[in-house]
Amino acid sequence: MSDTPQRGRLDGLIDTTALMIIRWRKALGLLFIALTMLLAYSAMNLRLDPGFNKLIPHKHEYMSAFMEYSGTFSGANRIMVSVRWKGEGDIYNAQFMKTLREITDEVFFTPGVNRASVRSLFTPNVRYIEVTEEGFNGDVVIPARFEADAASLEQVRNNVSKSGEIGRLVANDLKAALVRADLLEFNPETGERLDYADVANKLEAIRARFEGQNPDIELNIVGFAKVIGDVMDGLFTVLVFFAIAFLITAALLGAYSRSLKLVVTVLVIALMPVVWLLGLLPPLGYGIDPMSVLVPFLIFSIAVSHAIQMTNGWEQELLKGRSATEAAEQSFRNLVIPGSMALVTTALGFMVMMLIDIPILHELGVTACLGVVLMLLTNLVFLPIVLSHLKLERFALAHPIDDIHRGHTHHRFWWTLSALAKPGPALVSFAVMLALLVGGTHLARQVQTGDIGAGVPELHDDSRYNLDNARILESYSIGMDVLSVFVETTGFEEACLNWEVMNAVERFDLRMRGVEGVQSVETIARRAKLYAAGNNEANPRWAALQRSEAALRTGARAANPELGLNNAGCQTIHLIVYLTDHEASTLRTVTDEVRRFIAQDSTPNVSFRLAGGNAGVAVATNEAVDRAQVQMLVSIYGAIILICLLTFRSVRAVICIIVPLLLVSILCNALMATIDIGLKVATLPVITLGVGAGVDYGIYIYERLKYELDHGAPTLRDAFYEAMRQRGTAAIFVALTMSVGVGTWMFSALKFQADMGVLLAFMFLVNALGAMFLLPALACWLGIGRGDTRPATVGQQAQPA
Amino acid sequence: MRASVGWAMALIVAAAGVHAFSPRSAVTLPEVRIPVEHMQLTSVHQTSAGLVIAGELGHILTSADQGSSWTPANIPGNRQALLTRLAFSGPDEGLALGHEGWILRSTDGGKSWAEAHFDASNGEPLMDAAKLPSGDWLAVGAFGRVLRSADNGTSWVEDGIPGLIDWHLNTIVSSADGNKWLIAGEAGTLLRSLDGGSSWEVIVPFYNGSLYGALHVGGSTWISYGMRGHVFHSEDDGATWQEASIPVPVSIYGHAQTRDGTLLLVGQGGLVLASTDQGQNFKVIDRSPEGALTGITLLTDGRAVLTSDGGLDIRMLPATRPAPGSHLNLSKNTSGES
Repeated sequence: MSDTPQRGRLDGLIDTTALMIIRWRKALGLLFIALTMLLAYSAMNLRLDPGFNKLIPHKHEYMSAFMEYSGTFSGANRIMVSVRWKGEGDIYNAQFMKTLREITDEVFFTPGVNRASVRSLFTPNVRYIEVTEEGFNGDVVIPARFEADAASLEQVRNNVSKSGEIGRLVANDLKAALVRADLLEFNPETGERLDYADVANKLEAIRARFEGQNPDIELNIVGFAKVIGDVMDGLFTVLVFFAIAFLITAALLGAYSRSLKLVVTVLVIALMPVVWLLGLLPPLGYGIDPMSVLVPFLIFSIAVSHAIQMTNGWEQELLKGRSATEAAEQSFRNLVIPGSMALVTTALGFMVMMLIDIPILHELGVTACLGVVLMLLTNLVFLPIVLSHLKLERFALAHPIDDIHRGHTHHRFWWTLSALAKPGPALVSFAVMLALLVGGTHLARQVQTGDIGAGVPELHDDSRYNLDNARILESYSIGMDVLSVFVETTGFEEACLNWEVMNAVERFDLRMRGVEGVQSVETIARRAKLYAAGNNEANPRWAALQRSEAALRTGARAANPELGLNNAGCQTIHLIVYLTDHEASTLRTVTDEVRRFIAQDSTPNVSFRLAGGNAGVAVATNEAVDRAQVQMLVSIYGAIILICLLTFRSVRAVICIIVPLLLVSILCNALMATIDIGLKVATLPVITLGVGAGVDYGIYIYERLKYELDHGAPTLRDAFYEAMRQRGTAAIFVALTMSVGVGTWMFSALKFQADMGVLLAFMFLVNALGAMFLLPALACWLGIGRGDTRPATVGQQAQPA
Repeated sequence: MRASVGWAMALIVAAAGVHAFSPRSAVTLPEVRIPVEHMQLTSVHQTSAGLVIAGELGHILTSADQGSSWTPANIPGNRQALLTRLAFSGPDEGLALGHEGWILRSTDGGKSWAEAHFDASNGEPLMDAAKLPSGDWLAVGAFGRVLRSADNGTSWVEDGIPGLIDWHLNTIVSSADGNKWLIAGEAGTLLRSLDGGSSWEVIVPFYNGSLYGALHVGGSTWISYGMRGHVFHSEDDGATWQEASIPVPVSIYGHAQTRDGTLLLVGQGGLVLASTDQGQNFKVIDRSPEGALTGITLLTDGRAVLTSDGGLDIRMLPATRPAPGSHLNLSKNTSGES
């Protein structure tokens, strides 16, 4: 009845393929080995490609302004070294001043540092100004011939208090002072790109030296270069996790199969797609970045899971008395459909990530998808060839994986579980599901987009970098979370001498100061007002922008492009909004207020554009991630539904497979909300990856269930029991090994890797439970296996009766 | 029949999925707010409307609840120039003075204002104004400018005082009875009038810096104050001046006097100074993190309302804290005006 001609052709095709694989197994085997060696050689050329601009959603409207102006108004490339005095009193003592001078010199001579940009109490560009009855009086803060005696120290203390640098170069509590420098992206002599990791190492060496010399000195170092350095360090610890995951998987495999040969076979087969993938990346022009470094782990885990299904099937055929070769051929026949289906859905899961505008996710999608496609060859073709040559140890045969004769515990467990395929117990499943659903949905609504907490999101809250950052934030009045807004002026020779332009900037400045989450605002208008007051004895009643160009000229000293607030002629004016943190709600409130200002406040020939600074990038990323999440979910679920529908030709089958997945997806978001993991670039792929890989359990189990129903299983429960007996142990084992594989990331020094590890481990494990506990209940209450069921289609493969 | 339960479950999960992943509602933005605690403020006054403050971009705000909440005053056609001073002749009538020769007039204690004067070009700031016993208003400002209004501040004409050169004039103050007057300004400029402002006499400069303010302490005693810790004290209605003792060299921009006679001066570095000997000796009683304090007024509960170029702050000052069991009466005196 279901044996359509088409189905017959497919079965025929599978039979022919199985025969061919076995007939040419020697040649094919050699070809695979040769390919592996070739690609292993190619993998040697793999390069690290950390490129942090890969995290930027380039197509987002904010990012066009960011890309346009990031060269002009850098500041993002700044490093800050805060030297803290832990001894008695404040920084005005001989020991501290000597250390600060030496550290200033060290930073000055660090390769990559723009020497003109170095600022500390000891650099000549830091001056104090005082207004006296006679007029202005100003000089460098620390005199050229500085002797660290009491009188000189007192003079420095006075000069610093007049320099306005307290809160900026000197901590508010006078216990620390900063050395600040900008880095040059390109070496002006050689044109070489700056090696951030090298700068980070040099800074770390400075820290080690001075903290070692004097126990009263503490150095806190922050800056983009330091973040990259720390991330690169963390990257290499990942290799340790790979080794641990590998060993745990081997141990689990050993306990499960009781055969050294099988352990080695599975591990070798699972490593093959990893080697192939790494070998293919260099010729394709891809490198490894902190996120895609996780792909090999994932591929390894998935490959192990599929290899287990295959070896498990092969062993069961052996037990039926077939030869190794026959068993390999038969297990290929049994598994080629669910196996390739599962791999294709997983590949699709990765492929939808290519739709996303963020390059790092796009690349992650490409590499992961490629890895999974390679598994179609290694796991479905090469593994049966290896198995056909394998002679299992006698011990392993005596203790086979799923022997029903082995003992009654195993047997009884699956039989008990299979009760869920009866209407009564199925309702218990539903009750539990509904409870989880209500709680999960409620929590899932509270997931936050973006980073949670202060500090750099790539690293843990208690990492040295984030502790340094927190220390600097609390000691000084300047923050690291910056939103830049760009004002473009047209038709002015000197826009900063035009009152309308400056007035618009002043209005923006005042408006933003009233917004929740804004720490302070720095604009050319504020500076010009300060200079205007400064020209009038610092009288605050003169701190105003006057309408006449001549009067505005008094403040013109503020419009020095070197201060980074404007370019020449003020064609572009850079407005800097310091934020208290970079959580999504803060970013959203502030940018929405900027947008409202832009909408309400228009000035001829002046336009305000969002957004730059790390906060600007974060806002754009959050918006891109929010949009992408819906897009990805619709794509992955759409693809899975389509594939299941094509394979099983039954809407009810689709429901049995999809509903547990959807529940687990919701629970995953609930988990994120519970343990404070935000939806961000690193966690966005998790649900897609989890769904793409997690659908395997449902497919493997449902396929067997259907097959048993069509081949004489009297009740749904019997069919489910058979399915679980044949594939359940493997499913649990797969869930465990895959969870272990990604779970080791939890200990990564990089926070986003740890977040991904937790969530993926959850998805892999709980998806297996969903398929085991919810699938039978759904099958039961949807009437599968009763008279009204449309007979199965796929399951009716050639199977000797 | 049985299948319907299964279908229902599927639908419930699907609905939950759609709900869980549907876009979360957008943040609703609060009303646009003028950030009184983070804006340039130059003046504070107590009127029939409660507290009134003024400053950055021509903003004036009033508070009827001792500074807990602030309402923007109604200012049609706001010129967005910095306001430098509020000057009230009584609980209802007052002026706001600003840059570009801007003068605003209010008759309801500061809740609503009407423009009385503005220089469209080449304007310079006006710094202070006062209503003379004759009923005329006199406004003073940069470059020795003097404006007079004979119609309660509605219209203004340029005026001059003989003997003035173009030094900035920063303040005009009178004794409580309105008979004795001082105008103080740049480069030690000081004028006095003993006939209700009808005629003015130039005091020979005793100091070469700017004087930003002055006040009548009582009887013949006056105080004037200016740059870098220079405060002067006169016992003869301003004819001769002696330097007061000040512990820090900061410029002073505002003052207040408590009912028990303590003089309070505020200025750069968030400093508050107090004198209990009619202005001969001052000591620092408070230092706040904000920038330069420009004005101070005292509330009946003893708290001080302080304006600065960094914003508004309301707090208890050590010298103004009511002593246990005694009732402290505070004057309604404010920054720079009598």
